[in-house]
Amino acid sequence: MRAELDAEQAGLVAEVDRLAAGASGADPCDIMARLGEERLLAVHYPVIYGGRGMKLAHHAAVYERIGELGLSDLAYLVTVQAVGCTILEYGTRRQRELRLRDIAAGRLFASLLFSEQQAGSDIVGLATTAVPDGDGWKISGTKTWSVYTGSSRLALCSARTRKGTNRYDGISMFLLDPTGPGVTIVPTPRAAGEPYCTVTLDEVQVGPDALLGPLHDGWTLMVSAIGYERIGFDCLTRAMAWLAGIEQETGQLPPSRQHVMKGELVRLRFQAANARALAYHAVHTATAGDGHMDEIAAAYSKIACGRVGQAVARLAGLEFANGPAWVHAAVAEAPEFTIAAGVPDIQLGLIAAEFPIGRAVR
Amino acid sequence: LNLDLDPAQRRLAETMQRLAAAAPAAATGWEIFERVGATKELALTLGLFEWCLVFEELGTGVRDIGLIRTARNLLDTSPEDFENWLSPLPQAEFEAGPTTDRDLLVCAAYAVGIGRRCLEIAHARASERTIGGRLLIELQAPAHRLANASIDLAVARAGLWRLAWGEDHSVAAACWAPAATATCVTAAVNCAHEAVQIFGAAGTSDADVVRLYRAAYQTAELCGSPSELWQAATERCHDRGADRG
Repeated sequence: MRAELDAEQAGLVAEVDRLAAGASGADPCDIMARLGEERLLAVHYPVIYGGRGMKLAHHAAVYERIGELGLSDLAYLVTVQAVGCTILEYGTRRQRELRLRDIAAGRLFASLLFSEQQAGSDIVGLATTAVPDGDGWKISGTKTWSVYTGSSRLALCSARTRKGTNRYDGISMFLLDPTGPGVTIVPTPRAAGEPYCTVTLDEVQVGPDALLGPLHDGWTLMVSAIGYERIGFDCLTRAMAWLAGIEQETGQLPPSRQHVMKGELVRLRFQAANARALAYHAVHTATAGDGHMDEIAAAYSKIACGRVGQAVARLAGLEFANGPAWVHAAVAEAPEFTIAAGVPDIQLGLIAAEFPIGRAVR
Repeated sequence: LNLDLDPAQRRLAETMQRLAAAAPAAATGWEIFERVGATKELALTLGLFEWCLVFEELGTGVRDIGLIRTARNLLDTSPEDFENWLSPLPQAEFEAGPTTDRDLLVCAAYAVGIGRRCLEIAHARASERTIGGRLLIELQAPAHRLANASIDLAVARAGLWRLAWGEDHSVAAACWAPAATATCVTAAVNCAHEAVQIFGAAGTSDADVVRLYRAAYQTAELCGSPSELWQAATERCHDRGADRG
């Protein structure tokens, strides 16, 4: 049990702070590249792949700080964690060498092509296929609700490679270049943030080395890839930023309303700190165990973090309806906290299926 | 930052759990604690965090915690008296409500224990009871209600443990003790409500469920009502900035 960051984690946070302060006013992409140069973007990658050989818990501390500084934590999350770590764990030596150093250096951004119109949270219900073509594969289908695909040069894509003996069998994972031939990307505006991308794959040809992990058995990789997003640090960092905004706005209110708002703020700050403890604990389960996060601990964390983020956004939206632009952005973004990386029904089901219930912290 | 118990803490919790389960229903918290062995020596070595583990286990059995609270408070205020203490303190010396933030936190841990027990019996019931040929736990509505209550309890426990750990490591965060307690009391009551609902009509007549339900509400008497606790937290914490544990 430890209720605060350890010295190594705190040291990493201080490094990020120093670097960001030194680059004040710079383009966020430049700051990310600077973080990459200092091997801060993927501290949990091995040294030969641009990391520092540290633990996932150290990476979490950096990731949280990046989000708190308002940098692009989602792009970082998808690229470094979802795609990069899947390559690290399941990729061949060549696949790792080709991509991981660039990812860790902040030079290569990646996206996930999992969701489809009829297969959102139910990601095994996919219709995209990959059929053998010479030594390689031809991939066809339409992927939806993908983010940052338009600015990515790498995508991790799920496809059916055979009918399968059950829903989970017959899925394979491929690495492809979304800027290559046969790929059409259509942005779809969404309520907040970067647009979603609808990505059409029209007989996209990939070589044999595009297959990531075992053929027909890519389900495990899919779960692993979205696992980190199922913790909720992104919700927390936004909640903390919005709380600071609410505090500022509260100062302009009449004293009687300020008094009520102070109570709300104390509740939410406490709730956020507790959710943060659950989030770090979920990450810790990977460090303490076999390298994989306990999915039940992550389920507790994801819902707790999502809820506090939504509660903060709701307070801001209701109390400061005519407030600054961030309020509207918060209200628009908050629903996604319990949609991205799977609707909460999945996590609630996991929690309810555990016996005895309550393993989150035991 | 993590919420893992270390081996000694885990052993303590498991021992308490085993002894509490084996003890007669009327056994008090202090009597169960005594069965852990080397009572005073052990007590002197426990941090507040460990005491919270002890009180959570006592909460699962809705044990009388008057004497053990008095003893623990004596440790805080006058450890030399604790060492010389040989016989149970008279009932009159029990404090009805929490006397300090540290006392408040162990009472909150007791509430967590009550909530946990409510969830455990509700979950067991839902896992054996069928409706329309299906186990209750297989139906989304009751399963998710239990899961939501479990999340509330996990969040509450995380807050409690952070503060107890902070007390043991000289991290100044005591102003948040009323907030932690309000969260624990509310979570315990939520869990109790879910237990009654899962048991259905039996939930309003089964002696164990009724006892736990009442005990959950009694934590508001023990600790203070959530509204007054939040009021205290607001007055004490608002200007302290973000709580980062």
